[in-house]
Amino acid sequence: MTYQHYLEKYKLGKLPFEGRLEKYTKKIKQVSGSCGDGLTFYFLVEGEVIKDIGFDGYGCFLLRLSASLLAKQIIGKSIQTLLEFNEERVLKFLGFSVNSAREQCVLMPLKAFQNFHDQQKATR
Amino acid sequence: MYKKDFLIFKNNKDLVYLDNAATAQKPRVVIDAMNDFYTHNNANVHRGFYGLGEKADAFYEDARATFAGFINAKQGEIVFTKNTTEGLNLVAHAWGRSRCKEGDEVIVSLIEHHSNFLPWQLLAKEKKLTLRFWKPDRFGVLHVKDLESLITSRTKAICVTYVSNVLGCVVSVENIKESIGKKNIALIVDAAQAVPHIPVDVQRLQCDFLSFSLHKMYGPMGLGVLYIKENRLAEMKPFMVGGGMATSVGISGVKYLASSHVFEAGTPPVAEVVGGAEAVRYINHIGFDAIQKHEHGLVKEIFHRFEEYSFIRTLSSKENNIGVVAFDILGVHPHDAASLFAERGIALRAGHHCAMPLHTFLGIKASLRLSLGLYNDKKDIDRFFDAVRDIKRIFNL
Repeated sequence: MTYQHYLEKYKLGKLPFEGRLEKYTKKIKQVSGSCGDGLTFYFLVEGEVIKDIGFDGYGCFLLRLSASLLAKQIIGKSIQTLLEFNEERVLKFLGFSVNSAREQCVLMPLKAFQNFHDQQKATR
Repeated sequence: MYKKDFLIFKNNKDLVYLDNAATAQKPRVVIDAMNDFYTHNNANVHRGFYGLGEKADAFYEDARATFAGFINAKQGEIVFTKNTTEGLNLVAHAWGRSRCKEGDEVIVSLIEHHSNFLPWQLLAKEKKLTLRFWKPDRFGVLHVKDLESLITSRTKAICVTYVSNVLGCVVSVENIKESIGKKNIALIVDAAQAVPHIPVDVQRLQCDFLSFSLHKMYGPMGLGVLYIKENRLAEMKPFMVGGGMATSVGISGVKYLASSHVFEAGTPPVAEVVGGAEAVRYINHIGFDAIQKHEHGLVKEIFHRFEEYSFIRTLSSKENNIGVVAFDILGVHPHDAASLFAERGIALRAGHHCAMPLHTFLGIKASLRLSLGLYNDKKDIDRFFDAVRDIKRIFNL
Protein backbone atom coordinates (compact mmCIF):
# COMPACT_ATOMS: atom_id res chain seq x y z
CA MET A 1 0.00 0.00 0.00
CA THR A 2 1.15 3.55 -0.63
CA TYR A 3 1.11 6.40 1.86
CA GLN A 4 -2.08 7.76 0.30
CA HIS A 5 -3.76 4.32 0.39
CA TYR A 6 -3.10 4.09 4.10
CA LEU A 7 -4.41 7.62 4.63
CA GLU A 8 -7.56 6.83 2.65
CA LYS A 9 -8.05 3.60 4.60
CA TYR A 10 -7.74 5.04 8.10
CA LYS A 11 -8.60 8.71 7.37
CA LEU A 12 -8.76 10.54 10.70
CA GLY A 13 -9.49 7.38 12.70
CA LYS A 14 -7.33 5.35 15.01
CA LEU A 15 -4.81 2.86 13.72
CA PRO A 16 -4.53 -0.72 15.00
CA PHE A 17 -2.91 -0.75 18.47
CA GLU A 18 -3.45 3.00 18.88
CA GLY A 19 -4.67 3.74 22.39
CA ARG A 20 -3.47 3.32 25.92
CA LEU A 21 -3.37 -0.21 27.35
CA GLU A 22 -5.40 -0.62 30.51
CA LYS A 23 -2.99 -3.19 31.81
CA TYR A 24 0.71 -2.80 31.07
CA THR A 25 4.04 -3.58 32.68
CA LYS A 26 6.21 -0.90 31.05
CA LYS A 27 5.64 2.58 29.62
CA ILE A 28 8.10 4.40 27.30
CA LYS A 29 7.75 8.01 26.20
CA GLN A 30 9.58 9.00 23.03
CA VAL A 31 9.80 12.33 21.18
CA SER A 32 10.60 12.69 17.51
CA GLY A 33 13.52 14.91 16.54
CA SER A 34 12.80 18.62 16.83
CA CYS A 35 9.25 18.67 15.43
CA GLY A 36 7.54 18.35 18.80
CA ASP A 37 5.72 15.08 18.08
CA GLY A 38 5.78 12.47 20.82
CA LEU A 39 4.17 9.13 21.56
CA THR A 40 3.88 7.03 24.70
CA PHE A 41 4.16 3.27 24.23
CA TYR A 42 2.62 0.73 26.63
CA PHE A 43 3.97 -2.82 26.83
CA LEU A 44 2.45 -5.83 28.54
CA VAL A 45 5.18 -8.40 29.17
CA GLU A 46 4.73 -11.86 30.60
CA GLY A 47 7.99 -13.68 31.23
CA GLU A 48 10.04 -13.01 28.11
CA VAL A 49 7.05 -12.54 25.81
CA ILE A 50 5.53 -9.21 24.72
CA LYS A 51 1.81 -9.99 25.02
CA ASP A 52 0.38 -6.61 24.02
CA ILE A 53 1.40 -3.13 22.85
CA GLY A 54 -0.50 0.17 22.70
CA PHE A 55 0.44 3.78 22.01
CA ASP A 56 -1.01 7.26 22.29
CA GLY A 57 0.13 10.89 22.01
CA TYR A 58 0.51 13.53 19.32
CA GLY A 59 2.08 12.45 16.08
CA CYS A 60 1.81 12.59 12.32
CA PHE A 61 0.30 9.71 10.38
CA LEU A 62 3.69 8.29 9.33
CA LEU A 63 4.83 8.14 12.92
CA ARG A 64 1.62 6.46 14.06
CA LEU A 65 1.57 4.10 11.07
CA SER A 66 5.13 3.01 11.75
CA ALA A 67 4.26 2.46 15.43
CA SER A 68 1.21 0.42 14.44
CA LEU A 69 3.03 -1.75 11.89
CA LEU A 70 5.92 -2.34 14.26
CA ALA A 71 3.57 -3.31 17.09
CA LYS A 72 1.85 -5.84 14.81
CA GLN A 73 5.21 -7.46 14.00
CA ILE A 74 6.31 -7.68 17.61
CA ILE A 75 3.29 -8.75 19.63
CA GLY A 76 3.64 -12.39 20.69
CA LYS A 77 7.38 -12.42 20.24
CA SER A 78 10.14 -12.40 22.83
CA ILE A 79 11.93 -9.25 23.96
CA GLN A 80 15.09 -10.69 22.44
CA THR A 81 13.46 -10.57 18.97
CA LEU A 82 13.57 -6.76 19.09
CA LEU A 83 17.28 -6.96 18.32
CA GLU A 84 16.38 -8.22 14.83
CA PHE A 85 14.69 -4.92 13.96
CA ASN A 86 16.84 -2.19 12.47
CA GLU A 87 16.21 0.98 10.47
CA GLU A 88 16.55 -0.75 7.13
CA ARG A 89 13.98 -3.38 8.05
CA VAL A 90 11.48 -0.82 9.32
CA LEU A 91 11.74 1.28 6.15
CA LYS A 92 11.28 -1.91 4.12
CA PHE A 93 8.15 -3.18 5.80
CA LEU A 94 6.59 0.26 5.54
CA GLY A 95 6.36 -0.62 1.83
CA PHE A 96 6.70 2.87 0.33
CA SER A 97 9.51 5.37 0.21
CA VAL A 98 9.57 8.55 2.29
CA ASN A 99 11.75 11.60 1.79
CA SER A 100 14.67 12.14 4.13
CA ALA A 101 12.88 14.88 6.10
CA ARG A 102 10.24 12.37 7.18
CA GLU A 103 12.47 9.37 7.83
CA GLN A 104 12.74 10.48 11.43
CA CYS A 105 8.94 10.11 11.76
CA VAL A 106 9.10 6.51 10.55
CA LEU A 107 12.09 5.58 12.67
CA MET A 108 11.01 7.07 15.98
CA PRO A 109 8.91 4.08 17.14
CA LEU A 110 11.90 1.79 16.51
CA LYS A 111 13.92 3.94 18.90
CA ALA A 112 11.19 3.62 21.52
CA PHE A 113 11.17 -0.17 21.07
CA GLN A 114 14.96 -0.31 21.34
CA ASN A 115 14.83 1.77 24.52
CA PHE A 116 12.21 -0.62 25.84
CA HIS A 117 14.51 -3.58 25.06
CA ASP A 118 17.50 -1.96 26.76
CA GLN A 119 15.51 -1.02 29.87
CA GLN A 120 14.00 -4.51 30.16
CA LYS A 121 17.45 -6.09 29.88
CA ALA A 122 18.93 -3.69 32.43
CA THR A 123 16.34 -4.65 35.05
CA ARG A 124 17.04 -8.35 34.69
CA MET B 1 3.81 37.61 -15.21
CA TYR B 2 7.28 37.58 -13.60
CA LYS B 3 7.80 33.81 -13.75
CA LYS B 4 9.68 34.10 -17.04
CA ASP B 5 12.45 35.96 -15.17
CA PHE B 6 13.14 32.88 -13.04
CA LEU B 7 14.86 29.88 -14.64
CA ILE B 8 13.81 27.56 -11.83
CA PHE B 9 10.28 27.51 -13.24
CA LYS B 10 11.56 26.64 -16.69
CA ASN B 11 13.51 23.75 -15.20
CA ASN B 12 10.68 22.61 -12.89
CA LYS B 13 7.55 22.96 -14.99
CA ASP B 14 5.23 21.41 -12.42
CA LEU B 15 6.46 23.48 -9.45
CA VAL B 16 4.06 25.61 -7.45
CA TYR B 17 6.44 27.38 -5.12
CA LEU B 18 4.68 28.69 -2.03
CA ASP B 19 7.61 28.57 0.40
CA ASN B 20 8.96 32.06 -0.22
CA ALA B 21 9.18 32.91 3.47
CA ALA B 22 11.85 30.18 3.70
CA THR B 23 13.73 31.41 0.64
CA ALA B 24 12.79 33.07 -2.63
CA GLN B 25 13.83 31.95 -6.10
CA LYS B 26 16.48 33.95 -7.93
CA PRO B 27 15.87 35.85 -11.16
CA ARG B 28 18.21 35.32 -14.06
CA VAL B 29 19.73 38.81 -13.68
CA VAL B 30 20.98 37.92 -10.19
CA ILE B 31 22.52 34.61 -11.30
CA ASP B 32 24.07 36.34 -14.34
CA ALA B 33 25.55 39.13 -12.19
CA MET B 34 27.25 36.60 -9.91
CA ASN B 35 28.43 34.53 -12.84
CA ASP B 36 29.73 37.68 -14.52
CA PHE B 37 31.67 38.67 -11.39
CA TYR B 38 33.44 35.30 -11.23
CA THR B 39 34.06 35.09 -14.96
CA HIS B 40 35.18 38.69 -15.56
CA ASN B 41 35.99 40.53 -12.35
CA ASN B 42 36.97 38.18 -9.54
CA ALA B 43 39.53 39.45 -7.03
CA ASN B 44 39.53 39.99 -3.29
CA VAL B 45 38.48 43.34 -1.90
CA HIS B 46 40.68 45.75 0.11
CA ARG B 47 44.08 46.83 -1.14
CA GLY B 48 44.35 44.98 -4.41
CA PHE B 49 46.79 47.32 -6.22
CA TYR B 50 45.77 46.07 -9.62
CA GLY B 51 42.83 46.59 -11.96
CA LEU B 52 40.73 43.61 -10.90
CA GLY B 53 41.23 44.36 -7.21
CA GLU B 54 40.12 47.92 -7.69
CA LYS B 55 37.08 46.74 -9.66
CA ALA B 56 36.13 44.27 -6.91
CA ASP B 57 36.41 47.07 -4.36
CA ALA B 58 34.22 49.32 -6.45
CA PHE B 59 31.56 46.62 -6.89
CA TYR B 60 31.62 45.93 -3.17
CA GLU B 61 31.29 49.54 -2.01
CA ASP B 62 28.81 50.47 -4.76
CA ALA B 63 26.63 47.60 -3.55
CA ARG B 64 26.84 48.98 -0.01
CA ALA B 65 25.46 52.25 -1.35
CA THR B 66 22.69 50.34 -3.17
CA PHE B 67 21.64 48.58 0.05
CA ALA B 68 21.82 51.86 1.97
CA GLY B 69 19.50 53.44 -0.59
CA PHE B 70 17.15 50.45 -0.39
CA ILE B 71 16.45 51.07 3.32
CA ASN B 72 17.13 54.84 3.35
CA ALA B 73 20.34 54.59 5.43
CA LYS B 74 23.83 56.04 5.00
CA GLN B 75 26.48 53.93 3.30
CA GLY B 76 28.56 53.80 6.49
CA GLU B 77 25.65 52.33 8.42
CA ILE B 78 25.57 49.14 6.35
CA VAL B 79 27.39 45.97 7.48
CA PHE B 80 27.50 42.81 5.39
CA THR B 81 26.72 39.63 7.30
CA LYS B 82 25.95 36.02 6.43
CA ASN B 83 22.20 36.32 7.05
CA THR B 84 19.55 37.91 9.30
CA THR B 85 20.46 35.57 12.15
CA GLU B 86 24.11 36.59 12.10
CA GLY B 87 23.13 40.26 12.07
CA LEU B 88 20.95 39.85 15.17
CA ASN B 89 23.59 37.78 16.95
CA LEU B 90 26.10 40.49 16.08
CA VAL B 91 23.91 43.09 17.78
CA ALA B 92 23.47 40.92 20.90
CA HIS B 93 27.19 40.24 21.18
CA ALA B 94 28.81 43.43 19.91
CA TRP B 95 26.30 45.89 21.34
CA GLY B 96 24.30 44.02 23.99
CA ARG B 97 27.23 42.46 25.78
CA SER B 98 29.00 45.77 26.30
CA ARG B 99 25.90 47.89 27.00
CA CYS B 100 23.76 45.65 29.23
CA LYS B 101 24.63 44.81 32.81
CA GLU B 102 23.09 42.67 35.53
CA GLY B 103 19.51 43.66 36.28
CA ASP B 104 18.97 45.46 32.97
CA GLU B 105 15.94 44.53 30.94
CA VAL B 106 15.39 43.55 27.33
CA ILE B 107 11.92 43.39 25.78
CA VAL B 108 11.37 40.63 23.23
CA SER B 109 8.11 39.98 21.44
CA LEU B 110 6.54 36.52 21.58
CA ILE B 111 6.02 36.40 17.82
CA GLU B 112 9.76 36.42 17.06
CA HIS B 113 11.56 33.95 14.87
CA HIS B 114 14.12 32.12 17.03
CA SER B 115 16.80 34.29 15.41
CA ASN B 116 15.57 37.37 17.30
CA PHE B 117 14.70 35.41 20.44
CA LEU B 118 17.57 33.07 21.21
CA PRO B 119 20.40 35.66 21.02
CA TRP B 120 18.62 37.64 23.74
CA GLN B 121 17.82 34.59 25.83
CA LEU B 122 21.50 33.62 25.67
CA LEU B 123 22.68 37.13 26.54
CA ALA B 124 20.16 37.35 29.39
CA LYS B 125 21.50 34.13 30.92
CA GLU B 126 25.10 35.23 30.55
CA LYS B 127 24.67 38.79 31.86
CA LYS B 128 21.80 38.09 34.29
CA LEU B 129 19.39 40.35 32.42
CA THR B 130 15.64 40.20 32.75
CA LEU B 131 13.73 39.36 29.58
CA ARG B 132 10.28 40.90 29.36
CA PHE B 133 7.88 39.45 26.83
CA TRP B 134 5.70 41.55 24.60
CA LYS B 135 2.62 39.40 24.08
CA PRO B 136 0.40 39.55 21.00
CA ASP B 137 -3.39 39.37 21.05
CA ARG B 138 -5.03 35.98 20.60
CA PHE B 139 -4.67 36.30 16.81
CA GLY B 140 -0.92 36.77 17.14
CA VAL B 141 -1.04 40.51 16.39
CA LEU B 142 1.30 42.80 18.36
CA HIS B 143 -0.09 46.13 19.59
CA VAL B 144 2.27 48.97 20.46
CA LYS B 145 -0.06 50.06 23.29
CA ASP B 146 0.79 46.77 25.08
CA LEU B 147 4.46 47.68 24.98
CA GLU B 148 4.27 50.78 27.16
CA SER B 149 3.66 48.95 30.43
CA LEU B 150 6.76 46.80 29.83
CA ILE B 151 9.17 49.72 29.52
CA THR B 152 11.01 50.61 32.74
CA SER B 153 14.08 52.66 33.66
CA ARG B 154 16.15 49.46 33.25
CA THR B 155 15.00 48.72 29.70
CA LYS B 156 17.95 48.67 27.32
CA ALA B 157 16.49 47.19 24.15
CA ILE B 158 13.26 46.29 22.36
CA CYS B 159 13.59 43.40 19.92
CA VAL B 160 10.82 42.94 17.41
CA THR B 161 10.10 41.60 13.98
CA TYR B 162 8.71 43.90 11.30
CA VAL B 163 6.62 41.10 9.79
CA SER B 164 5.76 37.78 11.46
CA ASN B 165 7.36 34.86 9.61
CA VAL B 166 4.40 32.67 10.57
CA LEU B 167 1.37 34.95 10.38
CA GLY B 168 2.50 37.51 7.80
CA CYS B 169 1.15 40.48 9.73
CA VAL B 170 3.02 43.80 9.68
CA VAL B 171 3.96 45.23 13.09
CA SER B 172 3.60 49.02 13.49
CA VAL B 173 7.30 49.39 14.26
CA GLU B 174 7.13 53.07 13.25
CA ASN B 175 5.00 53.78 16.36
CA ILE B 176 7.41 52.23 18.86
CA LYS B 177 9.73 55.25 19.10
CA GLU B 178 6.87 57.28 20.53
CA SER B 179 6.59 54.80 23.42
CA ILE B 180 10.33 54.96 24.01
CA GLY B 181 10.34 58.75 24.14
CA LYS B 182 13.69 60.18 25.19
CA LYS B 183 14.87 57.03 26.97
CA ASN B 184 18.05 55.49 25.66
CA ILE B 185 16.51 52.23 24.47
CA ALA B 186 17.74 50.52 21.32
CA LEU B 187 15.09 49.39 18.85
CA ILE B 188 16.26 46.20 17.15
CA VAL B 189 14.26 45.06 14.13
CA ASP B 190 14.19 41.76 12.25
CA ALA B 191 13.18 42.76 8.73
CA ALA B 192 13.77 39.37 7.05
CA GLN B 193 10.15 38.89 5.99
CA ALA B 194 9.48 42.56 5.28
CA VAL B 195 12.12 43.32 2.63
CA PRO B 196 10.62 41.33 -0.27
CA HIS B 197 7.12 42.74 0.25
CA ILE B 198 7.08 46.30 1.62
CA PRO B 199 9.39 49.31 1.41
CA VAL B 200 11.61 49.44 4.49
CA ASP B 201 12.72 52.90 5.63
CA VAL B 202 14.94 53.03 8.72
CA GLN B 203 14.33 56.78 9.12
CA ARG B 204 10.59 56.24 9.27
CA LEU B 205 10.97 53.29 11.66
CA GLN B 206 13.46 55.24 13.81
CA CYS B 207 15.21 51.98 14.67
CA ASP B 208 18.77 51.53 15.86
CA PHE B 209 19.50 48.16 14.28
CA LEU B 210 17.77 46.33 11.44
CA SER B 211 18.75 42.99 9.98
CA PHE B 212 17.71 41.18 6.79
CA SER B 213 18.84 38.50 4.35
CA LEU B 214 19.16 38.82 0.60
CA HIS B 215 18.00 35.28 -0.15
CA LYS B 216 14.44 36.08 0.89
CA MET B 217 14.33 39.02 -1.53
CA TYR B 218 15.41 37.21 -4.71
CA GLY B 219 19.12 37.56 -3.97
CA PRO B 220 21.72 34.90 -3.19
CA MET B 221 21.96 32.82 -0.03
CA GLY B 222 24.87 33.58 2.26
CA LEU B 223 24.47 37.36 2.41
CA GLY B 224 22.75 39.46 5.03
CA VAL B 225 22.67 43.19 5.69
CA LEU B 226 22.77 44.76 9.12
CA TYR B 227 21.90 48.42 9.54
CA ILE B 228 23.62 50.06 12.52
CA LYS B 229 22.50 53.61 13.27
CA GLU B 230 25.54 55.87 13.14
CA ASN B 231 25.45 56.93 16.80
CA ARG B 232 25.31 53.30 18.03
CA LEU B 233 28.59 52.35 16.36
CA ALA B 234 30.70 53.88 19.13
CA GLU B 235 28.84 51.78 21.72
CA MET B 236 29.91 48.52 20.12
CA LYS B 237 32.87 46.19 20.45
CA PRO B 238 34.14 43.97 17.62
CA PHE B 239 32.29 40.69 17.11
CA MET B 240 34.80 38.72 15.03
CA VAL B 241 38.41 39.75 14.73
CA GLY B 242 40.80 39.11 11.86
CA GLY B 243 41.73 40.51 8.47
CA GLY B 244 40.47 43.82 7.16
CA MET B 245 39.11 45.29 10.40
CA ALA B 246 42.15 46.83 12.13
CA THR B 247 44.32 49.86 11.34
CA SER B 248 47.36 48.58 13.20
CA VAL B 249 48.22 45.27 14.84
CA GLY B 250 51.22 44.72 17.08
CA ILE B 251 52.35 42.09 19.56
CA SER B 252 51.06 44.15 22.42
CA GLY B 253 47.81 45.46 20.99
CA VAL B 254 45.54 46.43 18.15
CA LYS B 255 43.77 49.50 16.88
CA TYR B 256 40.45 48.70 15.26
CA LEU B 257 38.78 50.52 12.40
CA ALA B 258 36.28 53.12 13.61
CA SER B 259 33.87 52.42 10.73
CA SER B 260 31.27 49.70 10.27
CA HIS B 261 33.91 47.72 8.33
CA VAL B 262 35.11 46.64 11.77
CA PHE B 263 32.32 44.04 11.67
CA GLU B 264 33.43 42.53 8.38
CA ALA B 265 36.52 40.54 9.40
CA GLY B 266 37.85 38.17 6.75
CA THR B 267 37.11 37.80 3.06
CA PRO B 268 33.50 38.79 2.45
CA PRO B 269 31.16 37.08 -0.04
CA VAL B 270 31.80 39.57 -2.84
CA ALA B 271 29.93 37.70 -5.59
CA GLU B 272 26.89 37.45 -3.29
CA VAL B 273 27.14 41.18 -2.59
CA VAL B 274 27.17 41.82 -6.35
CA GLY B 275 24.21 39.47 -6.85
CA GLY B 276 22.40 41.01 -3.89
CA ALA B 277 22.72 44.51 -5.33
CA GLU B 278 21.26 43.16 -8.58
CA ALA B 279 18.30 41.77 -6.59
CA VAL B 280 17.69 45.26 -5.18
CA ARG B 281 17.74 46.70 -8.71
CA TYR B 282 15.34 43.95 -9.84
CA ILE B 283 12.87 44.82 -7.06
CA ASN B 284 13.26 48.56 -7.64
CA HIS B 285 12.65 48.06 -11.37
CA ILE B 286 9.31 46.37 -10.69
CA GLY B 287 8.54 48.70 -7.78
CA PHE B 288 6.86 48.00 -4.45
CA ASP B 289 3.59 49.52 -5.66
CA ALA B 290 3.29 46.84 -8.34
CA ILE B 291 4.55 44.08 -6.01
CA GLN B 292 2.09 44.98 -3.27
CA LYS B 293 -0.83 45.33 -5.65
CA HIS B 294 -0.13 41.92 -7.16
CA GLU B 295 0.49 40.14 -3.84
CA HIS B 296 -2.48 41.77 -2.09
CA GLY B 297 -4.72 40.52 -4.87
CA LEU B 298 -3.52 36.95 -4.32
CA VAL B 299 -3.81 37.22 -0.52
CA LYS B 300 -7.40 38.42 -0.88
CA GLU B 301 -8.25 35.53 -3.17
CA ILE B 302 -6.64 32.94 -0.84
CA PHE B 303 -8.56 34.15 2.21
CA HIS B 304 -11.76 34.32 0.19
CA ARG B 305 -11.40 30.77 -1.12
CA PHE B 306 -10.41 29.43 2.32
CA GLU B 307 -13.90 30.40 3.48
CA GLU B 308 -15.36 27.64 1.29
CA TYR B 309 -13.72 25.00 3.46
CA SER B 310 -14.97 24.64 7.01
CA PHE B 311 -12.15 22.21 7.87
CA ILE B 312 -9.50 24.87 7.23
CA ARG B 313 -8.62 27.13 10.13
CA THR B 314 -6.55 30.18 9.24
CA LEU B 315 -4.18 31.33 11.95
CA SER B 316 -3.20 34.45 10.02
CA SER B 317 -5.44 37.43 9.73
CA LYS B 318 -6.05 38.94 6.29
CA GLU B 319 -5.58 42.50 7.54
CA ASN B 320 -2.05 43.84 7.03
CA ASN B 321 -0.98 40.52 5.55
CA ILE B 322 1.99 40.66 3.18
CA GLY B 323 1.46 37.16 1.76
CA VAL B 324 2.45 34.73 4.51
CA VAL B 325 -0.53 32.65 5.58
CA ALA B 326 -0.50 30.08 8.37
CA PHE B 327 -3.37 27.63 8.54
CA ASP B 328 -4.24 24.14 9.56
CA ILE B 329 -6.51 21.43 8.28
CA LEU B 330 -8.54 20.30 11.23
CA GLY B 331 -7.69 16.75 12.26
CA VAL B 332 -4.83 16.38 9.78
CA HIS B 333 -1.28 16.62 11.07
CA PRO B 334 0.55 19.45 9.23
CA HIS B 335 3.37 17.11 8.17
CA ASP B 336 0.92 14.72 6.51
CA ALA B 337 -0.84 17.57 4.75
CA ALA B 338 2.50 19.02 3.56
CA SER B 339 3.48 15.63 2.13
CA LEU B 340 0.20 15.42 0.23
CA PHE B 341 0.72 18.95 -1.12
CA ALA B 342 4.29 17.97 -2.10
CA GLU B 343 3.05 14.92 -4.03
CA ARG B 344 1.00 17.39 -6.09
CA GLY B 345 3.97 19.63 -6.86
CA ILE B 346 3.15 22.22 -4.24
CA ALA B 347 6.00 23.43 -2.04
CA LEU B 348 4.89 24.82 1.28
CA ARG B 349 6.05 24.39 4.84
CA ALA B 350 4.83 22.54 7.91
CA GLY B 351 6.11 22.77 11.44
CA HIS B 352 6.76 25.47 14.00
CA HIS B 353 8.62 27.69 11.48
CA CYS B 354 11.32 28.46 14.07
CA ALA B 355 8.74 30.34 16.12
CA MET B 356 7.99 27.94 18.97
CA PRO B 357 7.14 30.63 21.56
CA LEU B 358 4.40 31.91 19.19
CA HIS B 359 3.02 28.40 18.60
CA THR B 360 3.00 27.74 22.34
CA PHE B 361 1.20 31.07 22.88
CA LEU B 362 -1.40 30.15 20.24
CA GLY B 363 -1.77 26.71 21.83
CA ILE B 364 -0.74 24.72 18.76
CA LYS B 365 2.22 22.44 18.11
CA ALA B 366 2.64 23.08 14.39
CA SER B 367 0.98 24.71 11.42
CA LEU B 368 1.03 24.79 7.63
CA ARG B 369 2.35 27.92 5.99
CA LEU B 370 2.06 29.14 2.44
CA SER B 371 4.06 32.20 1.50
CA LEU B 372 3.95 34.21 -1.69
CA GLY B 373 6.57 35.69 -3.96
CA LEU B 374 6.09 38.20 -6.74
CA TYR B 375 6.08 35.43 -9.38
CA ASN B 376 3.14 33.52 -7.91
CA ASP B 377 -0.01 33.79 -9.99
CA LYS B 378 -3.64 32.79 -10.10
CA LYS B 379 -2.73 29.42 -11.64
CA ASP B 380 -0.62 28.61 -8.56
CA ILE B 381 -3.55 29.42 -6.30
CA ASP B 382 -5.85 27.24 -8.42
CA ARG B 383 -3.38 24.34 -8.16
CA PHE B 384 -3.16 24.85 -4.40
CA PHE B 385 -6.94 24.63 -4.04
CA ASP B 386 -7.08 21.57 -6.34
CA ALA B 387 -4.82 19.91 -3.77
CA VAL B 388 -7.03 21.12 -0.91
CA ARG B 389 -9.99 19.41 -2.61
CA ASP B 390 -7.94 16.19 -2.96
CA ILE B 391 -7.10 16.27 0.74
CA LYS B 392 -10.78 16.82 1.52
CA ARG B 393 -11.64 13.71 -0.49
CA ILE B 394 -8.87 11.55 1.02
CA PHE B 395 -9.92 12.27 4.59
CA ASN B 396 -13.66 12.62 3.95
CA LEU B 397 -13.57 16.07 5.51
